[in-house]
Amino acid sequence: MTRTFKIGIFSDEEKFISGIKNLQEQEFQIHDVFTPYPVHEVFHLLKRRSRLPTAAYFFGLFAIIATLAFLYYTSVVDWPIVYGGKPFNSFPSFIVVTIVLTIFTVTIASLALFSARSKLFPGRENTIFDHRATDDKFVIVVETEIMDAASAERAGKLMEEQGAIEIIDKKFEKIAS
Amino acid sequence: MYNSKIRGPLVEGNKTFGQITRDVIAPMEVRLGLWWPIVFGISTAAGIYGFYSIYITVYKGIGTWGVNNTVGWGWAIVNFVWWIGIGHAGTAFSIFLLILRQKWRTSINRAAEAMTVFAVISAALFPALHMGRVWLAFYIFPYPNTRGPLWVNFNSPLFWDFTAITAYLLISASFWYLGMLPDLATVRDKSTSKIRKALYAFFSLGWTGSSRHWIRYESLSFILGGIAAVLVVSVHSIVATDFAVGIEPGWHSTIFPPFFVVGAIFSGFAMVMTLMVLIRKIYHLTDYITDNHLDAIARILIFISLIMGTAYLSEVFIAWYSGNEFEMFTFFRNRITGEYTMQFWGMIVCNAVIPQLFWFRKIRRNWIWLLMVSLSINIGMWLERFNIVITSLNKDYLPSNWASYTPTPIDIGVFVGTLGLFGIGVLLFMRYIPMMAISELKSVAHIGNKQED
Amino acid sequence: MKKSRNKSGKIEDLPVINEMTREEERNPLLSLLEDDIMNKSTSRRNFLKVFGFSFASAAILASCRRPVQHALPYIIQPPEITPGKALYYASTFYDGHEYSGILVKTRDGRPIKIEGNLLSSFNGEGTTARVQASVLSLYDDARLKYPTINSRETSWETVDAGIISKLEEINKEGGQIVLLTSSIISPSTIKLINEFGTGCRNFRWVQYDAVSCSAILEANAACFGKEVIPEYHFSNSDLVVSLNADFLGTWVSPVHFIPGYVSRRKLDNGEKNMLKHIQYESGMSLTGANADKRVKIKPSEEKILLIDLYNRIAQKSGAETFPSVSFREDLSDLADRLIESKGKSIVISGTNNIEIQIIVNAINSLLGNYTDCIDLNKNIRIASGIDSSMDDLVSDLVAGKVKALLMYNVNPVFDYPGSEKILEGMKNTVLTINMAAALNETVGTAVYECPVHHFLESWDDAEIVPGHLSLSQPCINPLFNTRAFQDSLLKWSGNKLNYHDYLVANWEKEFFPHSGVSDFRKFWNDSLGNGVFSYDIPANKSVAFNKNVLPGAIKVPEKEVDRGYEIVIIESVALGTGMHANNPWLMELPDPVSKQCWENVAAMSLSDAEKLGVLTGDMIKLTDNLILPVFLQPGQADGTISVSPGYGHTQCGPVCNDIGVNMYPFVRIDEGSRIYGFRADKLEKTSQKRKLALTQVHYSMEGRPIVRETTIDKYMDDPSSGNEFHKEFESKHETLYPDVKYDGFYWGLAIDLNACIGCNSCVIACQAENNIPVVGKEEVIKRRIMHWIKIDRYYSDDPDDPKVYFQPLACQQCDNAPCENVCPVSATNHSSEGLNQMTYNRCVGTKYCINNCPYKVRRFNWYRYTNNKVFDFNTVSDLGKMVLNPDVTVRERGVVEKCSYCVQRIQEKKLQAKLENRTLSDLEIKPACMQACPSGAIVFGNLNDTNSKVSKLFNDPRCYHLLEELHTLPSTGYLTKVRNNDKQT
Repeated sequence: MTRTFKIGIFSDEEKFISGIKNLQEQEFQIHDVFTPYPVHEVFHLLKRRSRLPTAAYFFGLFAIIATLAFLYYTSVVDWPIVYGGKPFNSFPSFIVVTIVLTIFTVTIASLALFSARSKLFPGRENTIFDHRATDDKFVIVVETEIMDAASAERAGKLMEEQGAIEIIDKKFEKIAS
Repeated sequence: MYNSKIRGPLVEGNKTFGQITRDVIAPMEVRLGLWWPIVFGISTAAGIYGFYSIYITVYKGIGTWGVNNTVGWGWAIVNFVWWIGIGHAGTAFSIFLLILRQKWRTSINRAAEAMTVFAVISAALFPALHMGRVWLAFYIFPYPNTRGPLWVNFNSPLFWDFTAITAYLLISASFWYLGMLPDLATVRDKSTSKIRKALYAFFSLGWTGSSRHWIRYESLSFILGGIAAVLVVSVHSIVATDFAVGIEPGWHSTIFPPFFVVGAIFSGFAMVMTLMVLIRKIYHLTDYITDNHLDAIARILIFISLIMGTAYLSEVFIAWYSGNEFEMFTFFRNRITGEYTMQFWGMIVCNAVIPQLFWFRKIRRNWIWLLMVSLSINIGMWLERFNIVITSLNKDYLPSNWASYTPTPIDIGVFVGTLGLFGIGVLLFMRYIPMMAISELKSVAHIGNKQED
Repeated sequence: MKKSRNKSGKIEDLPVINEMTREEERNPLLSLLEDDIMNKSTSRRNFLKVFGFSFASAAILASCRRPVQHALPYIIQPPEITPGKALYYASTFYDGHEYSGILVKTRDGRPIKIEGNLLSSFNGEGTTARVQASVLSLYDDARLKYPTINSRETSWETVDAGIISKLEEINKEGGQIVLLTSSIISPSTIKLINEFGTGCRNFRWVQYDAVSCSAILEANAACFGKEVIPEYHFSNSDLVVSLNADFLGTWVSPVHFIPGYVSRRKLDNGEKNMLKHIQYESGMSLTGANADKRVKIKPSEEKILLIDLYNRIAQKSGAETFPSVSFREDLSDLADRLIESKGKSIVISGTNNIEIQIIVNAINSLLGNYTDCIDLNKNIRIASGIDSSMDDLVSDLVAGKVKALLMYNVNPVFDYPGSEKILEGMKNTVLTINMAAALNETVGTAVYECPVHHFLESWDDAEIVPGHLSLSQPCINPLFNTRAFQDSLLKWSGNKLNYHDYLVANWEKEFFPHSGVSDFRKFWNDSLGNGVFSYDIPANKSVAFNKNVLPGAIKVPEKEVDRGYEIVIIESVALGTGMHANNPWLMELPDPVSKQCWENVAAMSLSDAEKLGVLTGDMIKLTDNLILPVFLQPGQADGTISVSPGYGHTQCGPVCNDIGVNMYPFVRIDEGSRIYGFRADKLEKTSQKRKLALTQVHYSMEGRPIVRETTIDKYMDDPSSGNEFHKEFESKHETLYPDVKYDGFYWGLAIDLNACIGCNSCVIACQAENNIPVVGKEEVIKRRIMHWIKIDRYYSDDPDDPKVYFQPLACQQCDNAPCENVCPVSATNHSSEGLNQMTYNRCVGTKYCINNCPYKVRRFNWYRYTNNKVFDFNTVSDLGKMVLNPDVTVRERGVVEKCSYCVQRIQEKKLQAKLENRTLSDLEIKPACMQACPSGAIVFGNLNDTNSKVSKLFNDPRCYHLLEELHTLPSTGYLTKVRNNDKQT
């Protein structure tokens, strides 16, 4: 089924922010906003938050334990060998490897998680509401499918009042984002 | 929001976002001048010489190098450490300046990170090549095998080294790529030709600039940033342990890890300076890479060069203070004086003396001077590594073993080859990838500009 | 395999293993056959086993001619051969200059190693480098492979037919037949030669030595009526005064003198009074390097010195004195010392001058040294050639008096001063025959080439000292179509016997009666098994010195003006006379003192070099046709230059051709004796330079306690004198980690620096045992020599008159080995027996271990040295490969290698002990270096066994470890060097 959207294009950051504020005051559901660079206020307004750091923390925890366990197993249990008069479990030597491997694991894992959660991977094509969003425009997208025509009109008006340089209506067969 | 009138604008000429985009993408759209194919040709030639040398090395053996039974490591390891050092610039730039909230980094870090990647690749060549049996290099992976399984020696700094380099290469590469995502998307949306669009669409992983993307993007870059910060410090510390763990006089020294890290950042920043001055001149990006930026780097270089000088002095002092006859000999009779005295004093002059010119504002703001000094620092850092590797080995404990070391054309060839490789990398980067983080530039574009008020 | 160790505990528990061991006890070969061929279905392993086994046997069956392509099993298995087990044959090494009783180690029918024969009282287990290397000459491609006439290949039949007919017609008209040989010490051969001689109407036998001792022989003939080189009992003497005699390196028979000499220098056996050794010489010889006092003299000064010395001693002991000039240095002290140790001293001179030798004899007889120290009855039968007789022969040749010239084991074209005369003279002969084992300059000059066996292929006997006999037996079938010299003589003298039967018959007749054994077969087998047989010859002790010869000898030479330089031609320890020059092991063996190899150089003193403004490597012109590279030799007498002969071959094989300069043409013939030296009026510096192949370039120890030394009187007060550091360092050793425990064996090696004279034989022994490649001059210059054990040489004090130190250096097998720590792939790690072991097939060649070894004893395979024509040094060809020791891996390119304490020998003996179900006895395991060492300086053993010799040495107050301050805890210990410098000197 097709979904219709009302898209407001802003060329100025401040106006764009106030636009969002306005819509929210009027209890409009903002589908999403697109900006050429991260605008932190938006995150607060749209209550966007990421749990990546927490995940990364646990990746790290796992990596440390796994590495140490591996080192101990290989050099003490499986095939103990004497190197330069050192004991089999020469812990100080293991620290370095542990640090590096932990960093390694965390990076890989977080990257994987990131691309999985935000559906970003080679060849992926997400719906682009307006091309200028990656250049110099700030874009607010309101889904009008879920509301009556009148309120949809109002949403457009509100954005115009806040200085949207352009209001576009778009239909999409299916949304990928 | 942070703002300083004193430093002046980070992006000059009161640019609009659109202009920024156009300016940065321009080099990718228009045909470049004659210099590009010429420089590219030279780099390729160097690369071919390098490839030939590598072929000879692998086909005939390490005997084609200048090393012998006393000096087991020669140019190969010198170059390895040197490249790794340079490879620290990018990440150091992004990370430390990020942590220090230095917004002016934005126009430089992309190039710096690109440099890192190519430098680390060049560096990674050497440890592989200097193996007597490179075709068995896989023995160094601790993988379950049918030989016992026989694992590797986790006490060996060389193994630490191997893991560190691998991790560093991978992480700096992904950090660099992550930073490029939004810009690749920009190029995608800007470009008119079908192929370009498809290509950049593929590599931009479907970036839209949605707030959902941005939030995760930011937290991920902070995670990677935080981790990489540790890595930048640890990688060169680990490279340092290659020597510090050794028993040779001039190697066996606890000062090495910090000393190496600082040295690495020193050479890295110097290389960044070199490239920036050139790119700026060629692409007329004076509005983005402002005199202030270069000035800032120059200031950092003075500071580090002072640290280096102190390190050199303290090394010599400790050698004397410890009263260890072997250390004494190495420093006073085989470095300060002796067969390789030129390399030692060359190092001192290039790293500790010449950078002091940066105390003068005029010099800090004259691109010729900047180029000269940054180049001399790069040479100086190479000489430092030469001192550490060769002059510790060639006259160590038993005088009966003393020998001298002279490189062969093959030694030189491999080095020249990596220079070529690096050149090729940088040139391609300048051609096909936005040289500056467009999105970040936009986020700081208004700082210090009239736009504000 | 490892699993069984971990999971199921001790190997013995496994029933399978027990069965196997029992089978092996029965007969490993059989077990191979049974369980592999008969019973089991052929798996890959079985196939390999069988293949390996049958290939080996094929090799034996074909008695190692060319390697066999197809593998054949035995039809009937020789009882004594077990593939994979070494067989030892007692034999004799004698090449015409040097003698040793030896054991030959053969594997699968190939001789691969030579050891000294313990039963031979002459040299014991000690051998020299040349003896060790001789096994490689067996597989030398430059050997003569078939008889030739006018250098065209032919059969023995045609050769014999031709020669016999020629000999007959010569005999008819009574033409002179001359047999020219090197010194022959084989009684059977001598008998045979005499028989051959009696068969001819006009026969003459001339013995000829490249480096002759003619003067000694003639002097003794004149003084005592005995034309002999006496036996010198260094072990009985307290004082040795040697003039230009390198008796530890090259003079007469070092391998025989070293043990006696060292037995009086060693201090570990509670010995208190040390032999005092004073050396007067021009060049720095190995002997001079070991002397307690060394005085530099020019050759021209020697006679004056001796006359002066004689007079002083004569005065003191009331004998007649002669007019003399006094030597530039006061000799009264020396005279006093000699008289002090009357009858317990030895005075020798290496100069080939009859008058000098007579004076030396006079001095010795004045001192009564002929009772205990010098024995004219039990003489050493090295070098019996008289110079004048050779000269006569040459003049006869030129005069055309000689009709037939038979040459055996000589190379006069190369090493006789007037060689062109010989070539000219040979044109006047009817028949010329040359009998040589390998290619040399004389080969091809004779019409008939009758190549002889290598000594490892031939039957022979030898009587080095009257009553001390030894046998040579073939250890391998002749590799080529060669024939023993004796067999040829037998053929030509129409004798039907072959030499073996002749030998046996001769022994039955001559020596069997002395044995006191009833059954000859038994006597023969015993002597053959032991390799030696000795019986007492009643010695008539009285040797009267004939005083009448003295006045003639003691003529003060007219003071010649002190101009120019005196060039001394003296043998090098490595090559000697140069007859083994085509042996790459010897070519690459650095001289013990100069540490230089691959060519001969002009060694000159530092001050002379300064005068001329030359440095090491500059080419100088000594005479018109003699240009040599300079080598600055500390301790070289001013105004003299030493050069070693034996180099500069032109037709002797790929290794030695056109390397260095041939010095023999510069030997002078003066009053019937050859003088090894000449006078160069002025030296010209040329513009050319050359890089010399030096294995050590820095001479000083830089004040580091590397070789620790003391003097005898200090040692008497405190045995640990000079070794004070040891205690200090030991006390400072701290570690965070617990010490590693070695239960069972804990191997250690002790080296007595007082006993080690630096003769280098351990180096070649190691090279032969461990398949160490030769790398060639260029690589040596690049400091990439592969020797696992090298002998470091240091100088101290005045560089013009230095003290010399020798220190054998191999892997120290550190318990805290820095190399193990840094290898990323764990290719080197520590064994449970304290060995620092190297796993070649795991090594990837990072060279990190090389860098991190403070002793720098690890070697890297910079190129592929095997199967590589670029490094073809006689071990690359299929023939040369036969010398390789199958117990030691041949290393691939790119791997690191080093001394392993000969782990293959350790394992062999351990297994043997296990099979015989007994514990190893001390000194049962001998690394190659230890076994070859003629001075017994190296001792290997188990440090856990407190009674083992090595642990005793480790507890000796003289014992220290090299660089012990680094806390590497080496398993190799050194004992401080004690010099016999008492107050007077």
